[in-house]
Amino acid sequence: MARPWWCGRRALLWGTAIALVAGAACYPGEIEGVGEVDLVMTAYDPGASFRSFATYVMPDTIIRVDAAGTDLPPAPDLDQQVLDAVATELAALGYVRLEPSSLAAPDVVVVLTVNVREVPHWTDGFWWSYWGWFEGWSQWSPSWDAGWAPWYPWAHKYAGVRGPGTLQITMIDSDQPTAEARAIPAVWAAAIDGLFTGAEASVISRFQSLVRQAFDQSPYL
Amino acid sequence: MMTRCGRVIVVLLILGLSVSPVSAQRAGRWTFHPQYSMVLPMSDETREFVDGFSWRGGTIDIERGATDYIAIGASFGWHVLSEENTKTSVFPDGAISGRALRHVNSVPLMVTGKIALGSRDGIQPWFGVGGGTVWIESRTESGALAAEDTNWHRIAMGEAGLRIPRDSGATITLSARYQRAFETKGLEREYVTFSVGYLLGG
Repeated sequence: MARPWWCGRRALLWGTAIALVAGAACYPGEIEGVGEVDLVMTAYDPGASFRSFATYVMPDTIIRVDAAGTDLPPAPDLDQQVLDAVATELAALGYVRLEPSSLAAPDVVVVLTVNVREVPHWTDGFWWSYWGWFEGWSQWSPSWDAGWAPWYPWAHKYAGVRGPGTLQITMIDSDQPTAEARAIPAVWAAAIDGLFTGAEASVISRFQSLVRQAFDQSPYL
Repeated sequence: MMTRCGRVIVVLLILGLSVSPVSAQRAGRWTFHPQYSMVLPMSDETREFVDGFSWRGGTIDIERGATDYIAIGASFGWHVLSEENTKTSVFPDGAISGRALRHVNSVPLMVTGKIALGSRDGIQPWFGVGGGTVWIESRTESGALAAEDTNWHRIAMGEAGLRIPRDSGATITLSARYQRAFETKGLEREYVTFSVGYLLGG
């Protein structure tokens, strides 16, 4: 009795070949839990002229953001240490820090934010409800209002969700042309995933090297 | 100055053109050549992203004998490198550092030329060259985060292999293929595949 076509040697070889090629692209198992490891992600606007930046202003606050966009109580001692670490790295790159009350507009404004809940990366919602108080916007960028939000068109290849406690450092250049209407022109951002989770002692033991890593992997700054 | 890849291709061409034709009839015949491929990253740039031997790959060559000893054809494959490491993945407009799974998926599409030596009745060495394009995805995954960079590159390859005839009439092949994807947006990839295959129609 003749064997059916699917039992033949040639069919077997074709099937094996197709299975080998198709199976090659599978990914192995993934790390479980976003807070399991420290991860430093940086992205920047390739069109920005970082070499021309000399001065910056950094508010002395790290805003906590929950899903509703309300700001939550900070941890003042820890926050100050993290802000100092960022200032140290910027000073090492030659940036001069100006006071927020400065009449002269800085080249860039650097803001630090921590999300309390899990959020998608590079979302711009709720911006004004937690950074709208900063007096610098009205001094140096008076046209910005509650309808404006930072825009990260250069960061879209980094997809996914950031874990609770992720510190984001955002550099804003108000002179940069806006990519979209009412888009606050962010030119660089660093996200340190899950930094502010766990005990304060744990954060203190990790943040220096992680902040340094964010700047080390951003040589264009 | 000729690149390393260029030198490999020239050496293989000289070797191929200097041999005598085999006696068996191959002109005008089509061959189908599925292969299981293992992948070894080569250049520093590739190994800085993902290092270590990979068992995951496949290659299919389809060729037609131009003469009794030269075959022209096409090749495509799917070659995967992956590693969990704590390196820094550098992309054209950013970077990710920390513990993550890093993958390179490479899909080369090439025109190939091969030349076989010796008698068809025994073990036959062959040499080949090829060129074309390759789609490469460099991907970093950690938890719920994924970042990827995909580009089309020009690619060149040089290879050497053995055809091993069996009593049943089937032909088993063993081969090593060096593949270099040239720079696109500051990114290059370089690797070698080691393949075991089954030649149909040869």
